[in-house]
Amino acid sequence: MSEMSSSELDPEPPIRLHLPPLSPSLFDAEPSDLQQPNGSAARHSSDPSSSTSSGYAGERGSSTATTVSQVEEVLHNEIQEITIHDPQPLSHSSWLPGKRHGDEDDASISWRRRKKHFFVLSHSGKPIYSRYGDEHKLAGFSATLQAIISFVENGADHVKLVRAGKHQVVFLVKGPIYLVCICCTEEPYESLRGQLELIHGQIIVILTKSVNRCFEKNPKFDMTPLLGGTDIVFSSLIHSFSWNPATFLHAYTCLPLAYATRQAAGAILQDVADSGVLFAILMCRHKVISLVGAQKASLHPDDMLLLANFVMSSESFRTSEAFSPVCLPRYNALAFLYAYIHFFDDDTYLMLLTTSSDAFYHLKDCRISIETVLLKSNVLSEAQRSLVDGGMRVEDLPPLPYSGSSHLGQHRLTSDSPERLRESDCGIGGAAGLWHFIYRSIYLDQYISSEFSSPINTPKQQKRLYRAYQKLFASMHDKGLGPHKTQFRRDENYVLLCWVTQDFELYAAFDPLADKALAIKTCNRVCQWVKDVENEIFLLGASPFSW
Amino acid sequence: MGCGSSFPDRDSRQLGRPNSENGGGQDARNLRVKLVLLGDSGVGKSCIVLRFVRGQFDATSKVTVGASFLSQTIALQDSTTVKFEIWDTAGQERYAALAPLYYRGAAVAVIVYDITSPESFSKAQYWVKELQKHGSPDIVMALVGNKADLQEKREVAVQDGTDYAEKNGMFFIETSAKTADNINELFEEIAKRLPRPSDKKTFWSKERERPPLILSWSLSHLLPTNKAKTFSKRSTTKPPLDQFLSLFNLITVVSFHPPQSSNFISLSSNAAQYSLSAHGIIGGFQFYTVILPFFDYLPAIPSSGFHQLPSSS
Repeated sequence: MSEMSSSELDPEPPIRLHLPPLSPSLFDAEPSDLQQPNGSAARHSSDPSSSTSSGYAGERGSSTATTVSQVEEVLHNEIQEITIHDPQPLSHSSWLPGKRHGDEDDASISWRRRKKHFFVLSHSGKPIYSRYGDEHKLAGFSATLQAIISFVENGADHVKLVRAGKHQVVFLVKGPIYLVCICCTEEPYESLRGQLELIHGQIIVILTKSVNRCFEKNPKFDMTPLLGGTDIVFSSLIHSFSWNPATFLHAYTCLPLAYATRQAAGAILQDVADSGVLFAILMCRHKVISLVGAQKASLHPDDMLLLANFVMSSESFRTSEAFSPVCLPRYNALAFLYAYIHFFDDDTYLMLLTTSSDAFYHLKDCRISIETVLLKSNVLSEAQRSLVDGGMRVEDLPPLPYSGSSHLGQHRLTSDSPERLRESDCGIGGAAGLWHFIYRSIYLDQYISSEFSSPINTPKQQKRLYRAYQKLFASMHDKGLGPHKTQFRRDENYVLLCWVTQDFELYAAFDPLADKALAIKTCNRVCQWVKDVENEIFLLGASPFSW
Repeated sequence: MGCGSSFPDRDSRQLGRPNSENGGGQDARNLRVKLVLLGDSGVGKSCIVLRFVRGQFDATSKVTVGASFLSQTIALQDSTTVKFEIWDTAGQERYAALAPLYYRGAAVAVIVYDITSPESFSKAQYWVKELQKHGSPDIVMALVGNKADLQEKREVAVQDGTDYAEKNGMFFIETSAKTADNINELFEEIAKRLPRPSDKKTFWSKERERPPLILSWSLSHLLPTNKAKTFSKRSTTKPPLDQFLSLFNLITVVSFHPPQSSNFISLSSNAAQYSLSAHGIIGGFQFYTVILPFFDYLPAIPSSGFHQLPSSS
């Protein structure tokens, strides 16, 4: 593993601005070899918190592990090794929402060749959802999965992970609902488990947790009719696992906007919230323009992710204003809230959430007054412009000895800067070979991701980078190995640098040949830059959510 | 949640029928009606609405989530206009329990089935029964057999639809959202069948089958919100209340202690959001009258208004 951690940093003072800069001395043990990118295998079995999972990670010896090894063979036969192309279309534009390959079942070769399967089934083995193939045709396969889970549970144990060659089978039991992921994408267990948690959360968004009661009344209850027409919501969520960092960062991102513009949107939303709306959220695609919650009501970033996914994937919301029950799993998994949803244009939409099922006309009036203000203060046109212009670009990274206020895009046209010239000669990324970064503010529950630029400009490369970040995130937050503060990892694709403090987490990707000292210096510049423009890229003053 | 503040004037719209009690700019020439579409998923409810409102037809089916709200105004030959406020509900099973949210107070229900699907026809019959039980008593119901362009796949005979509609006092029509056949006719026919303001029954009218309920309440018992909920739950199970669903309900609140003047003001202003109509002192009793357009809205009251009252003197 080309990973190294250090805890020799001085304890950080609580104020963000006084952080000691990241220094090369923190990385004095960089492994010299360019190594294979995927070294995650060892971590699963070394997780000390779960003695059971280590038994299933492939080692033999204990009695349970023996039974699992049989299981492995079954699964090994069930899903073939795959070296062929990923049949899934990768680019956002060509991605077709909705159920795909509904004609497949577990006997089809194409089905077996899928790289990443997700299954949801009931505790009696009835299929509820499958990413590929027809649920009803997969009844036998679902029963097999159920048998594996209940076999282990009969031994008063829980199965978390089964490895079968290149494949991982990750299990998550949520009361009467079982979720399973089978994949050969080499993602860490923690990430896959997080994805299953989100899929379960999406079920709760649609049905609330009280659906569990149906299973108490009738264990053989068939849940598929209740989820009728929601395939598209789940496939869109699963698709977002490979492009939306919010799915593993547990943070949301804002649309970059001038401070005054965001303030104007926030002010009118606050007025509405004061009139009895629980949450007022103005979003542009998956990015927040502004959001306001009633007093003491806090909105978890995962709830926002699931809500935005639900709204964006359901085409009917775009045809007219709508009023629909939704549940926010982290807010209250047992009850529905009522959401008024209105799209101002193709990208920008308003969600007003209330506990009152009678509030439609009131919310409609709220929307009308919000729309008036948004048009008057040009928020909608600014949002469109921001979508086109994008946010932070690594090419625009200002040099460190930098004074004065900074604005996004300020440096974009100044091609006379020496740095800029040098980098544009190479045509790749920003200073010191910086290709991309994600900065996550811990107090704000928000992250900012730089725009993709050359050479990470194909969806396939972007997906690979997200997977690398995801792996980095998982390893930084691995409870077994303790919280890390810095990590420098070099492989044939990238140099990945991660820096975690009390206030923020920075994930940066560099050219694989990037100089380490320079890369570290660049990270300090990125942090400074983010601070300089924070009132344009973050929603400030919204922090009451976080506590 | 204090979002009940604007209910009373909203209700005049939601009531769905010209209705001078609430004012709200209704007159005999310009009607405003709440219309709800119900039916199995995939029968084409949204397509009918989009054809009627926007003149569009989109063959790619978009599953409705919750309910969509659209409105369209039509002019009749007698120069009256009717503004339909249309609730296009989702047909999925999980929304069935939530349907009352959308059909409550509706003046018109359009129940749609697909002429190629007998299952959707039985689902339509389920909705008719549901509305007969729980809808407004004088709701105008229309039964619509959609996808009439698919004659060769027809599985529900025209006669079956006609017979069922006739038995249940409904208006029946077969439509095709795809070809726009009978779509405008459907809504024009509905408009003609709407009760006109002259037909209206007034609140104190002798035509009313039962007298209004006057309920009294001790102010000291009013404070906890859950009281209000118990109260409404118990009352709505009483049969006469169903009859009053589209009429005013009168609630009289009696307090057993003379409140301080500041409390008095706060109550009257807050309660005014819910159409507080009278208050005074009878003997040593503070007396409030709250008029609610719908009994159903009672649970929405509590939050801001009554919480501010003192728990006792």
